[in-house]
Amino acid sequence: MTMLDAVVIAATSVTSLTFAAISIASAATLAYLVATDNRRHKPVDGAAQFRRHLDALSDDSREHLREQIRIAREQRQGG
Amino acid sequence: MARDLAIDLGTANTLVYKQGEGIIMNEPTVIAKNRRTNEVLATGHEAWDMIGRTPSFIVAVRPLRGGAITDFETTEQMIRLLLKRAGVSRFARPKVLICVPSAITEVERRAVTEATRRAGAADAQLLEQPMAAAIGADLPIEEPIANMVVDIGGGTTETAVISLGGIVTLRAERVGGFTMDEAIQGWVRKEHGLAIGERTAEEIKKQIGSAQPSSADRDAEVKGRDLVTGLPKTVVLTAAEIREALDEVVTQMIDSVKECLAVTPPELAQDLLLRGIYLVGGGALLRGLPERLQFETKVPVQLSPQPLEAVVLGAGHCIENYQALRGMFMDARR
Repeated sequence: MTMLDAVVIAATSVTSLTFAAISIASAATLAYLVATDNRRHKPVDGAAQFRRHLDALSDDSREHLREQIRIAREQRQGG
Repeated sequence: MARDLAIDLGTANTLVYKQGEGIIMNEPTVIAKNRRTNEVLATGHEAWDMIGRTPSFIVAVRPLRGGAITDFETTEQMIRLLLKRAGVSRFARPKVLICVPSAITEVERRAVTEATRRAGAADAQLLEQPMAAAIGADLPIEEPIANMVVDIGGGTTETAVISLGGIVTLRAERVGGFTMDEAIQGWVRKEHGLAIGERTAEEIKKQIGSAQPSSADRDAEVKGRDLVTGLPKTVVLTAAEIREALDEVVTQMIDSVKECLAVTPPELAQDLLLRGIYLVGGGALLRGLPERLQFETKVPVQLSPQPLEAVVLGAGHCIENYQALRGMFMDARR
């Protein structure tokens, strides 16, 4: 390998690495912008949140609570 | 991973609920400290046994009075000890939900959340006691109907009407079980010239205290210090005179419930005639109180099956459904 070949290879590598870095940075910036844009425009679904809130208080979701009430009652009667 | 905790920080008792386990602690809200070094000597039952019996260098105190935090430093020490006993460490930092009286001030609110975070909680949130009590009493608060809960604690009486998962009307009065004890102490001092301690007054309330006459009325002997001679003395108290001693406090509680009823929207008020009022809290165990409240409000009244644990069990349910119920917490609504 001549001196000229070595210089050409080195220059090509540096150029490739620079382009690769620029590509990665651009892709990351684009992904970030898309993500933040989505978040900004996504409406807060108040109805769904309210529904989740009521579901968490519903009769079905209180099964575990009823079990705890039963345990507390037994502990009080036992104690 | 740390399991989240719910704490009912009551004036009289503190209960702790651990996610996935249930109630892991239930003890008096009392702390005994060395006056000279400010070191904590005992908490809970052990500290309660010391009330009124300590040497001069020890002080056994209740850091909450009348639903308010009267001693921030002691409250912080107590929260730190509670979390430590519940397994909170540098490596296990749970979210903590604390039930507090609804009348708590902004300063007290910030003090409790800051103390909880400093004690190792990853996040600290507050929830009003009547809301937690309604959930813990297993009331259908998610439905569009009125659910009225009256929480008579050691220092406060809180009445709330709840519908569709939120509080519609709320009234809080700074009277509770300890106000009754103080009324008994005052009565015995005035009528019998006898000084008695707060624990003795509480015993009298439990034994013969009532809100209205019944066939279970009886007398009780009480020992104390004669205010004239300074010597120990025994007197006999009747249920009727203790009822008279408690009447002003009971009337204040009932008036608070009536005020809440008066501001309840008419659509919900009519539900209450069918569904009634639910009583929770230690003060609700006063003999004859449900009957007297029913007589004075003309609304059916029933005692919750677990009046003492209702608040912490309700908060425990919120811990088990933390994300879905986050909107109920005091910070989230501000």
